[in-house]
Amino acid sequence: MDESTGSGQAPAQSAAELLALADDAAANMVRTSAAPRGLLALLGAWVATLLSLRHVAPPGLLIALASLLLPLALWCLHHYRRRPRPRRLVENDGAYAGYFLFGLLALAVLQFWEALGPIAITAKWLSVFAVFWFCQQRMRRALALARQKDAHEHAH
Amino acid sequence: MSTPTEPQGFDALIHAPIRLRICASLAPVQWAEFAQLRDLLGITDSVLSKHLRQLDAAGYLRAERFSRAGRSHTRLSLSAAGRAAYVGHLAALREITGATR
Repeated sequence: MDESTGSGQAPAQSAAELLALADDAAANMVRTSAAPRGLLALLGAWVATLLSLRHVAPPGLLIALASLLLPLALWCLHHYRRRPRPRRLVENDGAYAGYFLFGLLALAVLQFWEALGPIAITAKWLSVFAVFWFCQQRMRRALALARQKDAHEHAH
Repeated sequence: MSTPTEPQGFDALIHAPIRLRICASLAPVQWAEFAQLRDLLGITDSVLSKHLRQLDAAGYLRAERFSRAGRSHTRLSLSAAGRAAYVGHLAALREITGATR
């Protein structure tokens, strides 16, 4: 095929190869426009710190910790201004909602754990972060697949 | 743009690998900036511009110029016709390969 002009058909390039090219290009764009892992890791650390210290830290410290969400939100806003804007999904994905609800439920259950000593606080921090990270990654993957499928199958 | 031997929805303009990748990159987003698309595809400004002009001439593309911090940017998106042509072309490719996804 004349790659520079792109005219005519592509006998040498099979349809399967072209479909793979389209899949790769769409996956790259989906990855570029998704939330960065660093931001999600910071958000997870923030949630884990807040939840693991809520039974031992004074209210002032908890408020100070909660206020750290503001710079995180500003970073998020700055980041999204420079990224391609994702298209609204035509069909909602069940897996995404499932992991979201599972994460909420698991974090709600973890709140009943009253961590008072340093070891318990560390264990709770790790547990909350692990649950948050697991659900975030699954949600991220489910959303990426749904966005690719949507882009390839829905014209509107 | 299809011939009788090609499946319905086959679009010769989009069939070129670079233009297919441009459409595939723009399909999951509302818009992307020219520089982002160029970096993602790993091609030069001139090559990208040339293919964008061809897509634009067919009415498959929308380009919007704006300035931010004193610099000029171009925001690109697939038009409704472009999106429909892209989805139709992928369906035609799947038909050729016999894929059912």
